Amino acid sequence: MRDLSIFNEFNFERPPVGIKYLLNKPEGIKKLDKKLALCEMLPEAQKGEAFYATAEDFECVGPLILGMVEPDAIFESGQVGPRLGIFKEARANRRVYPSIPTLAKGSVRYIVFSPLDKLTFDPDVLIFTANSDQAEILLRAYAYTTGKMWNAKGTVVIGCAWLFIYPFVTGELNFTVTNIGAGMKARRVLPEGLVLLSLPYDLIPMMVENLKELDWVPPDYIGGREAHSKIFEEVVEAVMKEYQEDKYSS
Amino acid sequence: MSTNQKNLEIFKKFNFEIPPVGIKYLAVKPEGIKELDQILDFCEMLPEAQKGKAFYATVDNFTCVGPLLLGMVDSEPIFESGLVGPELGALKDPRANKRLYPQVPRVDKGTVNYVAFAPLDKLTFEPDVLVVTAGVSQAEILLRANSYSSGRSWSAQGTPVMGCAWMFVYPYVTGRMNLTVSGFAFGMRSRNLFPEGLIILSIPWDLLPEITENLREMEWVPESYTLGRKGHKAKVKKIIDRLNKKLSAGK
Repeated sequence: MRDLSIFNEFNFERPPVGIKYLLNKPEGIKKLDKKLALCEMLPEAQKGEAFYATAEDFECVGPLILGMVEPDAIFESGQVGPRLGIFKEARANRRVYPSIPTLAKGSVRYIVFSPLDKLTFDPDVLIFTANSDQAEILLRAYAYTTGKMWNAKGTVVIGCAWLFIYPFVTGELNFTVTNIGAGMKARRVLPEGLVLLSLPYDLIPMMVENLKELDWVPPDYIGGREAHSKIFEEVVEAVMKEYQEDKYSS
Repeated sequence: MSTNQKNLEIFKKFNFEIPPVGIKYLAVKPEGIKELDQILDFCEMLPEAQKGKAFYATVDNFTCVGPLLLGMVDSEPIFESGLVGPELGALKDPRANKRLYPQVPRVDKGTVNYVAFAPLDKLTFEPDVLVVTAGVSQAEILLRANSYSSGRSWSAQGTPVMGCAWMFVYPYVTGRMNLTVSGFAFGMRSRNLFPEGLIILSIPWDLLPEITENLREMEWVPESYTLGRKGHKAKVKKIIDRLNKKLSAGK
């Protein structure tokens, strides 16, 4: 299993949680002993124990987006959202469903959650609950060797699909902020204003390498505006000098 | 004052700690607005306007990459070759830094000579982009208003450097709302422009009529948000039971 200990250096208040999607029952992991919504399984794992869940352990739309059940006409026709005051009418709510990421029907029967220090498997998705300082370092690590832009996506309902499923099916990083989604806000799943950042398995090696190498707190972040401007000017001047000298020599 | 400008009055009901700022991109000099009397980075012009004054800026008022993104200058080989980012420790090497430039949104060269900024209560123009600096609860209401009548998903795009491009230019050139969290962009963070953890939401002009109409109509704090976990679950169950009953009767 890959060494993920670099993430311990963040000292997250709530530990990162690894998630695995399985067709067959995981060995050596206990079954969840209560019914929860998919979004609530994240803080449940953050209490410190690994567990797996099956279709009967869920409330809300988790089984639908995990492909564990047939589509539910009540939800997918858009009837529920307007009655909760989230959408103006059913046609607006209905439009959400084709856009949300889901897993192929019948392809997952077990979903495993584990906090970082109890991981016994290579996670399919690793979810961080970070403050904005920590999230900034993670986003910088994502771009450090690639120059890739970040692109976060979500809908006002069914936020779990974007957090748990989207990175797995697309290979893209995603993030959201706690309480900008209706279900998690109504259920009071986590305190407001935390950044939930999901990494798919195939980005984890690069992130680990980049976190080992990059300056977590660059000097620019310490000295404030004036210090940054000075560093910035010095860098630009030095690079410009090199460029001009080379330009004139050729 | 146009109807669209009047409609923006609804934003005052949020009682934002930091006022929303309207931005306009102009080829010709705006009337009745003063020129900025200092040299600032593009990102710094937002907090400058939030202090309460409207102003416009020309190419001479900028430091950093603002003029490049606004198409006010020719390309900058020093920046675009990716040489600066690695020296600042923001990116590993020039090839990573260089890859950012084709991705960042820009305004066509020579089309903008003036950028006007005004806080909401000093707006004398219809903004091309309205930039809202919000708390999470306020941002949640705005995201819901963006989806309330359309079901539209939200997306947030950005790069660790040149955050200004995503905040000011992206909504203007794409017609899509964008958001970021204060502290995510290297330059703005280094300059300590905003307290951390605020949501900065940028709305293009063509989404504003829909969003303001939705804000007038929708519940800002739906009952579910006040009930707590059990109360919300009970409410959802009641709705579903009722709908199932109707569905079965219809069959």
